[in-house]
Amino acid sequence: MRFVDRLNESGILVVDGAMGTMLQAEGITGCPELAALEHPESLTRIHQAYEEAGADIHTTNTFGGNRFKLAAYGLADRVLEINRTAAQITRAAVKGLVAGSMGPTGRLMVPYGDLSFDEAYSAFFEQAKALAEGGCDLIVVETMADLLEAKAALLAAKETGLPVVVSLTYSPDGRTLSGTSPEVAATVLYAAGATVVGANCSVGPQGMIPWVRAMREIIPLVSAAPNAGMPLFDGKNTRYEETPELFGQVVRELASAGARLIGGCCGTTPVHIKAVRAALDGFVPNREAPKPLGRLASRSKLVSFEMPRVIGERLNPTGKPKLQEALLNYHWATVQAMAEEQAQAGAELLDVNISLGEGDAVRMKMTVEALVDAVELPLVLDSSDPVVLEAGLKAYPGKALINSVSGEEAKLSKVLPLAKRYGASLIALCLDEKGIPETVEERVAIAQNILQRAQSLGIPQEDLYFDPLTLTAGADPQNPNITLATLERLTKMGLMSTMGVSNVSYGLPNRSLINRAFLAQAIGCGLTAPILNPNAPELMSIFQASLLMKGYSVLERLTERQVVQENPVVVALITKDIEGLWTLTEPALAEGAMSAIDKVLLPAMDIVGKRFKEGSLYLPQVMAASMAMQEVLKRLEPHLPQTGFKRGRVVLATVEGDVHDIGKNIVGNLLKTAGFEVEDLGKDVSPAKIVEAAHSADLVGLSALMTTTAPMIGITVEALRQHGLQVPVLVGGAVMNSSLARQYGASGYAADAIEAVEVALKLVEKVAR
Amino acid sequence: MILAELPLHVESRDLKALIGDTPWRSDLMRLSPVLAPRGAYALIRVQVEENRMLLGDTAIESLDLARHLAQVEHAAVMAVTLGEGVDEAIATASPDRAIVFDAIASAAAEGAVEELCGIIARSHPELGELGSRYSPGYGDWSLKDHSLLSNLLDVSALGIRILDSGALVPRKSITAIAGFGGGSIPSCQNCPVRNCKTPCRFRRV
Repeated sequence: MRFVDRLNESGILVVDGAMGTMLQAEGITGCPELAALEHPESLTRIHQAYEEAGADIHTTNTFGGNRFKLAAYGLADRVLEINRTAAQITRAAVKGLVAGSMGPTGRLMVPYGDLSFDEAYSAFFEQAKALAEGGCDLIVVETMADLLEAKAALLAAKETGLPVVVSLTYSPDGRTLSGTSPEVAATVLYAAGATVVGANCSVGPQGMIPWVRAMREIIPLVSAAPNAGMPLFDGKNTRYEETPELFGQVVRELASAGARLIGGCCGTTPVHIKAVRAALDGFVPNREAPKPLGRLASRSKLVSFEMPRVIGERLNPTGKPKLQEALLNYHWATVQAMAEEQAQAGAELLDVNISLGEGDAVRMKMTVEALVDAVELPLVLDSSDPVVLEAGLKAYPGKALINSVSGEEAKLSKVLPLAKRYGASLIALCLDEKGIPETVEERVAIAQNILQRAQSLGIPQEDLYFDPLTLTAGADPQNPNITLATLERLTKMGLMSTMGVSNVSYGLPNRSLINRAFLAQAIGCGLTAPILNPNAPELMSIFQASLLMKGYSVLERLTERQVVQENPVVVALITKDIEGLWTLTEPALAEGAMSAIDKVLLPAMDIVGKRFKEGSLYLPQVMAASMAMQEVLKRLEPHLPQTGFKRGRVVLATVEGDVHDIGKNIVGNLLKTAGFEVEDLGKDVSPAKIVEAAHSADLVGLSALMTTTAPMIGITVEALRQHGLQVPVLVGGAVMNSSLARQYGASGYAADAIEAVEVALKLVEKVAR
Repeated sequence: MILAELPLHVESRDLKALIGDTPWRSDLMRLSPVLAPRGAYALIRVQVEENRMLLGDTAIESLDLARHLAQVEHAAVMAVTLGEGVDEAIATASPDRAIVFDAIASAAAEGAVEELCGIIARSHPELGELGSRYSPGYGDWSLKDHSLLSNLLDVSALGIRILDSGALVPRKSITAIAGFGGGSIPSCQNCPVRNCKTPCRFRRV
């Protein structure tokens, strides 16, 4: 472990600067990684220049050396050769440490794209193995934008046994493209086994200071490799904003913020690195370890246990036929809506149990993917089957909580390694092969055993949440007391805890009251993460009030939370839950399809429209509702009378000279939903074309966004009238207003898409009369 | 003229104004392969006289712009674009996703022009502070003057085309001018107050 030794003995390790621009300066073009085979002497020169400048760590020229990136140059079959050789060249060129560089695949991972975890992992493993064979001291995974891809690369790199540095690239707003903050990255990647987590590329050194500081509060070792500012091209040469002098000045602040590895990314040269070396000479870093704290994270949200947090328990198909059906048929909208509902109600973590028997592993993977795309809350993966758990962990970009392990040897030996490998925390049940012990001492002993076993694998105490186990008071009135006493003991031992609340009242009358009393006492005994139904307002308010008793400042939460019962049809519409919408519409079919439309769908669409106008819904939800409604209308079609649900035919166009059409497209979609037949002529449409199409239309809709194209509306209306077409014309667009509309001879004006439908209905009705 | 590749910068406050609390991160990720923000700028001299205004050698007719640049000697004329791929992605997406894509692209175009202003301000401290941006279409400055701006800045080098109507293609492109020095109207982007009384998109509190 040369790297770890060096890190322990030295203040700060200086990493080298950019490779790409140095290769360009050497006149090397084409696939940069091919330089290992074609220009080894150039690579040697560059590495040596950085060593002379004072770098301690030298990064191999293998950033794009994975099979996906190399495939673009027809080199996918030479991954091994290229990476191994590049590492060997670096090894031979310098005395310092050699870091094998691994960059992104350039492909989007599920759910954004089609690259699976296993595919990414195997590509990174192939590369990491070659880098290790070539003699690297460590692996650096860098410039990652997707936390899941970073995790796949980290796990693959760890297989080599080398220490791994993982560095993400953040936009100037402090988030990666997929929404990960430095705090989340530090939490997730450190748990998954990264030795160092950091940031590289995208901004200059100044911009990185707050990110480094935020990471250092969570983990001991942070790296930073900023750009030399922005690249500027003056027609002949590219230069970078930041001069080496400026770069060096700021770097000391980066070190004070907590960076232990400092280097440069795009645009930095040996001159920059020399300035870094000089600036850091004699710097004594703060080696204090961050305070341990329970932390879980989704891709974008960090949840830390400086106070108790609720785990929502509703995503569990037991006794919920609708959820069972949704899971069996992959109707993710239903699952996503249940998750969203719990988040709204105040849950801060979501338990995900999809156990239906056969196909659970695939179902877990797909459920996790669906939820990752829809809710921000960290997930609790709930299964007794390690295979199912692993499927979920692979799909999950964040730091999950595994539910659960117990003192049973079969569980310990399978589930603990999973948690270690994927960097997850664990719920540990205080039971073993002999079942649930009757005494507090025995339950605590099991907890101690699990803790020891976990620690021996390197899983820290703050990643364990112990469950003292809740049994119903109906079986034995002593049960709740034993649970609470166990909880108290766990708390005294400094351990975190979790448990389901509602079991306590199983089989008893007035369950809600018993559950509330039990929850309040449990919080009093130090419960960290109650598992409960957050949609039960009485339970949530007791939870909040109990927090107040423990001295947590939650006054505002006690006053603000009011769960409004949503109209289910509206919810199905705006979440585009087509199956759910159909289920709600179908019963009304007994009175005929028109009745289903008039009594179920249109009133709900009306609410959507009203909420849009008052600003509580935005266009994407309105559009989702419109699309869901159209799907259901299609299903209703066979049941409709011959005349159908038809309001008339509309011709739509963005006028000549104007290329802005998104507003018009939205109007078209909503008109369809309202029963109109829509012919969309597109954008930049000449008056002649519009006249031609308008012959058979009941309404013409024209849109113009620009001051320069608005007059074209007048010209188009005139063309229609000149051809003897008296069809009503509805106009809209950013620069239009009702007086301008009148001036251009239009029959009506609408300020937004919802209004467009209202006006269209009036205009067509008028003509019909 | 200086060309720059710009970092992709999307501010959640910009998206909040357009699509409320609609989740957009996944869509940004999906859209990211086609987002290629780049920009260019050139420094020009500004002459505002009683009844005419010269930007470089180009005469511009706009009282509002003349007011905006009244005390200004030096200005930067700038353009940014996200590239052709975005228009295509928006046009082919499903309607609900297209709205989110469009909002993301609008925010990214704003982010790009802000990044470019940052570069300009940092590159030319000797000219004084960079004031607020003004674009064709603001006030009485005609959109058709996009074609006049192209005398000052070769927007075609960025892949931007100007239609006769003044519309820019790719659609997610912005042109603007900003003055330097004490006479220019200050830009809120570099505002040191951060929590002034007037709510603006740069407000930090």
